[in-house]
Amino acid sequence: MRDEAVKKFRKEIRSGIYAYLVLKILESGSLHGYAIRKKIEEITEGKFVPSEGTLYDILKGLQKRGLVESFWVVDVRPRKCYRITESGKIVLKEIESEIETLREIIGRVGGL
Amino acid sequence: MISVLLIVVGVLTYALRNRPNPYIGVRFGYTYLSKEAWRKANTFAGICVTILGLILLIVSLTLNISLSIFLAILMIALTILVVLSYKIAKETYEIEDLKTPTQVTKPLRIEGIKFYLIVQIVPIFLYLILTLILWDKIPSRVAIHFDVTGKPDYYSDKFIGAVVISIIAMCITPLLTFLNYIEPMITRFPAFGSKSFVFLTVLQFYIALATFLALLYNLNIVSGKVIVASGYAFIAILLGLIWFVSGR
Repeated sequence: MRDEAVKKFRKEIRSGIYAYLVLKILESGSLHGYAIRKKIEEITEGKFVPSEGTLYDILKGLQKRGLVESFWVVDVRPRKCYRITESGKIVLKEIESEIETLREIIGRVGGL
Repeated sequence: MISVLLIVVGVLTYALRNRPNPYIGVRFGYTYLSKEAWRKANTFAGICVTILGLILLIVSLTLNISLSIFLAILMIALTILVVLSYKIAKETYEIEDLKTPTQVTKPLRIEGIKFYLIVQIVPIFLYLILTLILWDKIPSRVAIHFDVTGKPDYYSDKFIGAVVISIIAMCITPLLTFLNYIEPMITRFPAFGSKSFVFLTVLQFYIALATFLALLYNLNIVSGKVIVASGYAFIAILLGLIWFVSGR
């Protein structure tokens, strides 16, 4: 029961962070999904790495909201790459200021 | 009969779900590129087609439903099945793609479809204009299907047969072209080049030809033999197109 609650809570917190990280990573250029996952692994030093299924859902959600778009490339077979859209950049800017506020709040909560 | 056939197809699809094969199974660009996408999509499709066959068998044995209602249920269920199987194959392929490191990549350009769509839509307008001009000369009951000897075996009301069915038949290819454009991996030959659009455009020309010939038959201008000849030509054209698209 407790494990289930932790799992659910963790999932809720992480999905927002992952979506933010994906947008932030794509801000500096388009990437293949595998490379996005590797980049997250690198940034978070392996502490926050989404599973492929989770990353798929996040990318799908971001595409649905028009923040990210996909396009095809080919190596030995067709592969999907992702890039941030103009509206994705605007949303990212707005979220970034909120992230700053959140960081402050979490810091203050930690001192309670 | 159709229900039993569905059960057989469903069981075979399920039985062969682990082995991509050229004979049976749901197939999209994704299922040809990933064994896992093939397995998951065909497991789902195999089970669903079997259940659909069983339900239709029970319904047709217990309830006295007409053939048109039976066919309508079948078409709706199969459409839903294809859409869901496609979603499963797509998700499986894309998740698998996220697990695989990329090698040197080059961009894949998806051909524009404006030209192909215009070429495909022109015969629809020509047909409508011709039907309008000749409307009074078209009989009230029109032949809409022919047997192998060129003798009509199915008739319909003038408006349904000469307009509705004909227009629907000629709209399928443009719709497929558009679908292929927005979802390039939906077909066996992913629409990254122009081949699949050429395929669909030539196919549309044939469908338009068959529709025009049926209209001319109903106007007593051409004989049933011409319709039969066009049927054989269709088989030849289709085989040629498959050869062209597969690049063999």
